[in-house]
Amino acid sequence: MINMIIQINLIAQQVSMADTLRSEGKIYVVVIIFLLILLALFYYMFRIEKKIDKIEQNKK
Amino acid sequence: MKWIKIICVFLLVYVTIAGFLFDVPALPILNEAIRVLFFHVPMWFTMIFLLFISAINSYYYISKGRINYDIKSNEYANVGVFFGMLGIISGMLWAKFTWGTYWTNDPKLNGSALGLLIYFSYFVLRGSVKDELKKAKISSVYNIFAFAMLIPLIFILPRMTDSLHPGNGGNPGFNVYDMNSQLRVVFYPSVIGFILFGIWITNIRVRIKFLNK
Repeated sequence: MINMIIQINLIAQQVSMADTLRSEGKIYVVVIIFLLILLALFYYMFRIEKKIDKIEQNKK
Repeated sequence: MKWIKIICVFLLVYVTIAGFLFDVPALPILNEAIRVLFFHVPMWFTMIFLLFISAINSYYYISKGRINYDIKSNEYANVGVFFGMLGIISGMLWAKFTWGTYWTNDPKLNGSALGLLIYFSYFVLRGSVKDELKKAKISSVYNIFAFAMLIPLIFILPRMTDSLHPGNGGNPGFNVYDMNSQLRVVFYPSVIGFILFGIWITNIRVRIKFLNK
């Protein structure tokens, strides 16, 4: 078990990750754009809900 | 309901930030694709959760006979299957870049595809019966059996044989190598966030159905 963990750690040191993207700081652009889309979608959901609220009140 | 939405928004915003920026274990073959775990697996958790609620609502419809339970059960199944589709598509893309192919005849993959097909025929069944009460009764019974079939297809059968998919082939759940604490701090909030999101969407759909009644 310990042997396996050491082996995995050894492999891990050679694995290439997206370090360039991170060092250039471009990853923050990705995150900000994704957040913008997500928040816009949530805003849209809340607006749809408000419309349903209105229709429900009119029906009562 | 209001708190569900607020918690959902916070969790999913946290998951997008943490999912892209937090440190993840560097593993061969997977590389950065390990981050797909934060988005692919919660899809399936959400599907199972929503389909479970759908089956419970079907049970309530059969025992209490109120049509509202049937409407709820139908919408939960709808949204649940939608999340299942997202899960299968994201899984296929992930497989292409780690296993080298979109689809293998792996028991986990075939099981989940079969499970979705069972639910597709649930919608066909619903669409083919005109009488409202008959439709509600038949589809409720079918829905309970569909969920009972889904569990062995997704969770039991893949564990009894060998499987490429992590968490299968004799390993119950996620073991030490599949998931460490670095992943868990993003993974569990993601699961809860997406489940709440699924409940939110279903709630909107149910309200629209009630208005049309």
